[in-house]
Amino acid sequence: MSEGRVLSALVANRPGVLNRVSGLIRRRGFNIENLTVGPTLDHSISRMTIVVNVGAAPADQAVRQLAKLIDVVDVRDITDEERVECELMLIRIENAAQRRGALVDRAGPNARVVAEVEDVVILAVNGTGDELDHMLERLRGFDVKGIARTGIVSMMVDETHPHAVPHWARLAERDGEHPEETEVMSIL
Amino acid sequence: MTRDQAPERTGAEILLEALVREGVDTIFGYPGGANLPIYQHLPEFPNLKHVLVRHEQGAAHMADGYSRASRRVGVCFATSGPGALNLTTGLATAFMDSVPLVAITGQVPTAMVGRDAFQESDVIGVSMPITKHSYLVTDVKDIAKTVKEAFYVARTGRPGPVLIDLPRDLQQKMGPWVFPDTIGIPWYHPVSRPDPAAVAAAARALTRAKRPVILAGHGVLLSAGEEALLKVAEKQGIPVGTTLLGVGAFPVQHPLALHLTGFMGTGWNLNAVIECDCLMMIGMRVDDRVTAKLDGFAPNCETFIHIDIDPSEHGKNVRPQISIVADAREALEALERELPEQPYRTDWLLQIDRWREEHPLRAKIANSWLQPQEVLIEMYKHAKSEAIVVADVGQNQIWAALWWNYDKPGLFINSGGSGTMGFAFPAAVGAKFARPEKTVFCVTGEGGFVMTMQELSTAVEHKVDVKIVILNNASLGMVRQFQDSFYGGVRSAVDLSVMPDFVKLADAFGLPGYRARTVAETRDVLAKAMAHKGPVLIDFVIDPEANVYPIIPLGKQLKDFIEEPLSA
Ligand SMILES: Cc1ncc(C[n+]2csc(CCOP(=O)(O)OP(=O)(O)O)c2C)c(N)n1
Repeated sequence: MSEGRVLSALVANRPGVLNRVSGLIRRRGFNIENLTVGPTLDHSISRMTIVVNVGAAPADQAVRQLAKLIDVVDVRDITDEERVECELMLIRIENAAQRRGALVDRAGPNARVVAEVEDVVILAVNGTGDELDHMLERLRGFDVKGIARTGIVSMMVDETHPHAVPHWARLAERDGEHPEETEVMSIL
Repeated sequence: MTRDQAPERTGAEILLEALVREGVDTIFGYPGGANLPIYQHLPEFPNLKHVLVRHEQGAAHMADGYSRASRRVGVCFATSGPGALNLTTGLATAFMDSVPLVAITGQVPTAMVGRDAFQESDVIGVSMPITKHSYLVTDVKDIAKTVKEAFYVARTGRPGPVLIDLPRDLQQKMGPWVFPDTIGIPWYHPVSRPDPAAVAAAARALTRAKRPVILAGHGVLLSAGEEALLKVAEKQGIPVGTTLLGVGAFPVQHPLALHLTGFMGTGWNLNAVIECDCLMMIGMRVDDRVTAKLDGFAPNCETFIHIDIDPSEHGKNVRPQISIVADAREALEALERELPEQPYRTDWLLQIDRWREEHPLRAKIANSWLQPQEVLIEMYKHAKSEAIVVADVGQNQIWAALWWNYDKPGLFINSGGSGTMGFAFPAAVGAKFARPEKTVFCVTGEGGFVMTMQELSTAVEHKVDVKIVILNNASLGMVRQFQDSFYGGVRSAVDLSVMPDFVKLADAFGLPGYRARTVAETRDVLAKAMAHKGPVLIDFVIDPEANVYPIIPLGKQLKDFIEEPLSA
């Protein structure tokens, strides 16, 4: 796996939010290694898992800049938290018909054959980023002609952490109201 | 009232009514194909004064000047495509300086979006990096709540410009008029209250310090924290300097004042920052114009305290030991309660006084030319610290910042972060709309002035009493000074000896214009200009070789600042 930091963000499901997030990361000079986005239980909120390469800079700058986006509900660096991660990969193998048995054996229980047309087998595998890398290693002797990877999704194990619970429960604790605005109006 | 009972109105009317609800009284704008329905209904809203600018950049800068002078949200309108794109320099200027604006742009009708329609451009895409937030409205029902949210976002937390892109068909479509009570972004909770533990730590660090210094930035002004700052400073006798955008946050004539810091800061300020053992930086970004070369910034400081409402500013350039993420005023008020009285540190303050005597601001007066400082001193005699000075960018900006005793907030306005030439004149017009009772000066170079001078026409139309002070050195002065000092003395593309006759130009636009070449003439024309009600322009022909001092050579440290050479 790379040196990237794993950021988990809950974002408002509004138009352009992906553009805002990716644009900001680029503008601030960080590199995106992978970015996934998908719905949560609350359809107004999506979850993004972003792996950024921040180079020598600490990831907190990236996190704080992301947190400023109005459409970002919450964002955390979860790299070092207790967490699970998962990625899906499709692998296209040619000249597979004769060695199908060996192929399935070698791929192991994590892989499923999802398509088989003439001499071509397509496997679907899930696992951590590292496991998928290893899978490709293991299939070296086969005629692997193409892959498609989703990029990782990740989730913290500790459900009591505010970031891990669905956002609306956490927001309810803040009783939904906006704080009194500090009156700064007149300059006179 | 429920949705079903709500009266139906067009999107344009809903927009305008929502602006009224937000307390808007002045809009700077320009019509075009994609916002005509808004203009069709505008006359029905007599409480919304519309100022027709002559270029959309002027609208954005006017809204900006209006906001900085009044601490209210500035509003501007533009049509799609070129209209909206003309706003962008103004939006970026406001964004860099955290000025709350709401820009409303027309967009091509929803069905045409994405098809390269006439005057279509991706305004949301273009404005993303130069706005705090933006909205493309897709349903007439969303207009009112979008306006409410936009104003809330613009003025809360770290303020900034917000853009609403409104397709023309939605402006004409009927929808229910309902102004929401709540804002639909419950997760957006800008922190404003300081963490008491951090405040206590800051109070201890300041109290313990032998040579404390405070630097104040725009955040102090934006949060109306100037009174709290004064109390904190006076409680323990802590000297206070300001950034270029913080000018006005602390009275320049106060015995504890260090005046301007940074790249072109005063010698006594820079020495105090170099020697301090505790530096508290409030409402500022600590950018390169403040620090110069980073390793020479406050090299003797043991405790950096940073107060800023934006968490991402903490540690971006200087890692503070004590970090307070909060509204500047709230943090200062909390700090004031926490800070014990203690005798002033006489040694430290006397040392600063010595630096003040050793490194005074100097100007040459020995040659036959009118000096820019003389112009400012004569202006100050008329206005004292009651006038608003809006400066452009370049030498004129620094002279105006240094050679004036600002003692209240909102009296010095300039484009600090973006350094946008052409800002001053439209911003001054906006400031005058916001505070008609104030004398407003626009101090500008001739280079910057001609970038947005078409707004003379707007000023004449509305009789906007702005006194335009052109410090005319017949060149792009600041660039010329940089070329002389840092780029081998090669004067390249800086000559502006061919320029319009500004007195005739004023006449052509329909306002009085004067010229002054000496101090005596300066006194004379200023008296005339002050007596005149309405816009007036004065072309001050100043020393073409006048330079800005002090200045820190590019890439050097604070301690390397250079002062005005002593006249022979
Ligand atoms: C829009 C824009 N273009 C270029 C610059 C670069 N620049 C900074 S100061 C300056 C010279 C300004 O000349 P003038 O307006 O005559 O003012 P002076 O420095 O002579 O007071 C220039 C070109 C800028 N800040 N803004």
